[in-house]
Amino acid sequence: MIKIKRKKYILIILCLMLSFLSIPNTAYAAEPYKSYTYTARMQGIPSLNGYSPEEVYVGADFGTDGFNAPKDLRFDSEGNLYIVDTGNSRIIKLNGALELVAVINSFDNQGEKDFFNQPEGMFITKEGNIYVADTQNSRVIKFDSEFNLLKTLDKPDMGGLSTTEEYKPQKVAVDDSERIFVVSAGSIEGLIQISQEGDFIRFFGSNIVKPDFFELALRKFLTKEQREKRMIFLPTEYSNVIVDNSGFLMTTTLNVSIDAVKRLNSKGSNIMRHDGRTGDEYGDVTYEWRETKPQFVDLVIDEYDNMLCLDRTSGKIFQYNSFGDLLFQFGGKGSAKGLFQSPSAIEHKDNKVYVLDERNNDLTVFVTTDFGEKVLIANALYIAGSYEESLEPWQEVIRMNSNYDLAYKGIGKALFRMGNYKEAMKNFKLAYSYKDYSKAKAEYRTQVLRENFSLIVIIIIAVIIAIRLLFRWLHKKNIYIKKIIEGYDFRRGEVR
Amino acid sequence: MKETLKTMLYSLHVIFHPFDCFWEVKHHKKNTFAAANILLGIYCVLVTISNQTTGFLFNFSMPEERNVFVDIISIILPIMIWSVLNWALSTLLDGKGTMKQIWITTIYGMTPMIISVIPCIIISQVLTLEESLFYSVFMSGMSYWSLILILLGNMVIHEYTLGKTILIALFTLIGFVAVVLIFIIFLSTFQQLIIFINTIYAEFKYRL
Repeated sequence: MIKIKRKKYILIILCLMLSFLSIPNTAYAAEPYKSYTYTARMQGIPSLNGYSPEEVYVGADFGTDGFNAPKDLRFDSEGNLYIVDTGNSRIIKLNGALELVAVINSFDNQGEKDFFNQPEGMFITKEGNIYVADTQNSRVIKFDSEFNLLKTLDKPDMGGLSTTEEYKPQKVAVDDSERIFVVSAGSIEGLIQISQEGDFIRFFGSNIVKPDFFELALRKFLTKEQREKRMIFLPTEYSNVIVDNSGFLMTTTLNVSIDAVKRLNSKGSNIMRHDGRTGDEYGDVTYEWRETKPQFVDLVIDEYDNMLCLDRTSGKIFQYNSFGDLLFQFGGKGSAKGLFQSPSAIEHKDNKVYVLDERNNDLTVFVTTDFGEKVLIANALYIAGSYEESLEPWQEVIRMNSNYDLAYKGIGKALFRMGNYKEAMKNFKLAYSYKDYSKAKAEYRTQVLRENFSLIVIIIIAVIIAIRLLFRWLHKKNIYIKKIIEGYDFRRGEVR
Repeated sequence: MKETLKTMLYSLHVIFHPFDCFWEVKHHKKNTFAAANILLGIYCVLVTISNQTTGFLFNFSMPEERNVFVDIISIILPIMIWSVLNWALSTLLDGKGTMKQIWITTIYGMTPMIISVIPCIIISQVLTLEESLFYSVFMSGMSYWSLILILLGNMVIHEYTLGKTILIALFTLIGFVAVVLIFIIFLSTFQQLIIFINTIYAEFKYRL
């Protein structure tokens, strides 16, 4: 009896130990935000995070005073990182390992010491020249790579074309043919293009006010005085401008979600691709009646032409591939590591994303997670058109997150290229990609027809003969379908 | 049973000979009501099947969102409201038809839609997006045909002119909107009532 009891105790203890083993390991990389993808119904469903916050830096980490409302962030071609510390009117230069190299407070202007006054943006060309948008001094300054002054470009004479008197250059970009584009505060005409000599050339790529049907209809009935009192609809202003890998200008616009991010050709029209599910809508998918609009303040292009767009309203970073598919979003509003109060600038280098916050006065570095890395590898192959090679990475992505629709699309394209149309159709169906499904279906149809042509012909002939025989048999039995359908005429009580 | 079946099959004759046939259906055919209800039942079944089996390119419903009861009700309820309202209006404007007859002719008029369901399913399995025009033209053609048949049926049973039929049909549609509006108001009021009773019950429960 006692023996049995003892055995029981041992058993119980063993069971307890086993149960402790099965308690899940609670140590996990806790990102304070949750990623999601959109279903075909545009509902967000949870997804794995593509990026996780690695480190947060404040000014003291670099051995300088704290930042004060820093507004821009740039990498040069050698991997040095520049932080435009707007409130302190200085530029901080860090090397690739994020160690302080120099703090630029002043520069030599024709023998005199000259200072910045709250610069908000800078740009580094491929040759290494540095352009600084010295906002409160109303000028753009051109330096060489060592901050030796080359030229100051003062307020250009716009010939009364501008609606705003003020010229406050906030962001500046220079394209491959040395044309300078300036985003000036409150300038609704678009980008201001100036020459290397500082002369005004034209306004470039202005946003267009889309006529509102209701407003137009209303204005038909209003008197002139009433019309003048109505709200004025002005084009939205640009918030940032960069140059992408192939030399096109890319812009962000405030307070809109449709076409908030644009790629402009030399004519100034938008040539962005919108093949993705979210179409031309950027940021969180919202509806027209929503009060809160996204405020895209910065974007950056990585080496695979993916766009990382920074939204100040939600504090989120949205990554799209160059076809317009949403890959990830990360970040958010808050004070935890990886969240922001008011993010102002974003940069990208070697799978790391650097985000500047102008209210927290810090710099957050994100790294890709395992999942993010897999998606980016697969996506890079997919964008490059090597669909067959992308098959395996996409399958790995699906293994980690079976809700990731883009992966199904990628697998479908790979299978389509390989000629496996039936499986391709299956994957396109899972991705709710109607166009691709249709293409695969057309191919599959011809394939089936070609393989079974004789069989199909035989079946058709057989059916025709069978119908003929059936009718002959019915005729013999004196049964007529027409009569059955028409039935008796009750008035006469006979077959009509 | 045999008579009902015969009357049901007569719907195929309606397609090309609406005037004769609606007259026949009204005055001479036996068991027309039962036949019409069977036809409606068949249509409901066919629509349910088509919601499941229509090809991916032409089927914009998500399987996880489908509800068979909602599908069926969304077919039957409009016909019901149409019958009631049309009857209510036509009695005022000296129509000869009864509510039952309106119900029957409406369903008989839907015959093109009923017989087009299965061909549509088959076509949708074969066609791609480039050829979707065939599908949509076929589908909408059948629907318009049904619409014309329903109007003609209405005209025959009420012994109206075409103009008057169309006028009353338009009035009925306006009535449709009114009914839906009243229904929504009724529903929200009822909801308020339920909340009210609930709170009173809760109050009693705590006091006693």
